[in-house]
Amino acid sequence: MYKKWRPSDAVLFVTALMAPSSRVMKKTVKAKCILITAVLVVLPSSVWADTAVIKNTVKTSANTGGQDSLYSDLGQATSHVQIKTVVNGEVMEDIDETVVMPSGENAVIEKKIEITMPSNKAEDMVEIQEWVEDEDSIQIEEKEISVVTFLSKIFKYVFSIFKV
Amino acid sequence: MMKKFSAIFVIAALLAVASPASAFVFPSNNNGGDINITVDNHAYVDNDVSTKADTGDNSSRGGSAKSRASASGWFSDATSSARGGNGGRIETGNADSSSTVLNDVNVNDISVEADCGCKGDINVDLDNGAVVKNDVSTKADSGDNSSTGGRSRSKARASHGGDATSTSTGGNGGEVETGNADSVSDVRTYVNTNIVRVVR
Repeated sequence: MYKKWRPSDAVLFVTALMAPSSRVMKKTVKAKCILITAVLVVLPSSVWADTAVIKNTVKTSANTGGQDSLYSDLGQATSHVQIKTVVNGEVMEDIDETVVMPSGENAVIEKKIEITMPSNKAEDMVEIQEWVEDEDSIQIEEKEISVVTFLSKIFKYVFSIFKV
Repeated sequence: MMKKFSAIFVIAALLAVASPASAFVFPSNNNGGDINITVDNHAYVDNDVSTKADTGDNSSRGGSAKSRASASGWFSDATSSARGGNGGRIETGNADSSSTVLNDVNVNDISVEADCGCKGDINVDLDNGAVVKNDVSTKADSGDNSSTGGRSRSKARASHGGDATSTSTGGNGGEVETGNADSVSDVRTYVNTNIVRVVR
């Protein structure tokens, strides 16, 4: 049976973490497991949260060389790399690179780029502002609609008298 | 008590782990006319792409030749001749390699339909987190071809005053004609794209 949690247990727990003795070992094992699990679970979430990380490692190579012959007619080697990264509509990188090497040589392009950005915790105000601007027109339409509704009600009322 | 606590903690931990892969949208409209939308996106993308086009690494080698002549007795002649074969002609096609990676991660296209006359605030709270790893390797190769002539070996032997003639000629290497090598890597990543529209 487990006894009720008391403030003194906290002191006991910390003491056990610092120097676990055989007496408090059983109690602290579970607590340690919970603590470690909590750290392992919470840490990755907190690392992920609020960040946008993009890692691009691109290697492109073209080769027509390396022949073992006295008579050779070699083609052209062309490497082309295009990398575009857009975070929340903002272009972070836009690479368009081409390397053309004469016959027999190796055309290599290597790119290693890492972008780390804070996450976009944002409230999109633009559209809301537009909506606010339109609010007057909406209200005007509302008034127009309400006048039409009012008139139709009167007509209905008048016709209802004839029906009776 | 402790078991219950442990069970609850395990469930909570599982939810905490699973939540990054999910997106939550919490629209709520309270009586005051406010519209609150909360979007929480978390994504992890790992692309490992390797593309290779290779028309090269061809080999052509002429055959080897071996000749041996031997003569004995008075006034004997021995003639030996060997010629290695020529290497064949190698002609490769073009090597075209292309890798295309397109990531479109955490795209929020939110459309809020508000009734006419709504004077409350519209609060859109977006929280996007993303980790995108692109590891792309593209290779085009039409080279590393080999066309060599064959080897030759000749040996002549005469005795008792005879003549010995030995001729050994290696083969010629063949011609190598390679096609073009074109390699293209195209990596496009769009992360955390938010579009919020408020329509009536």
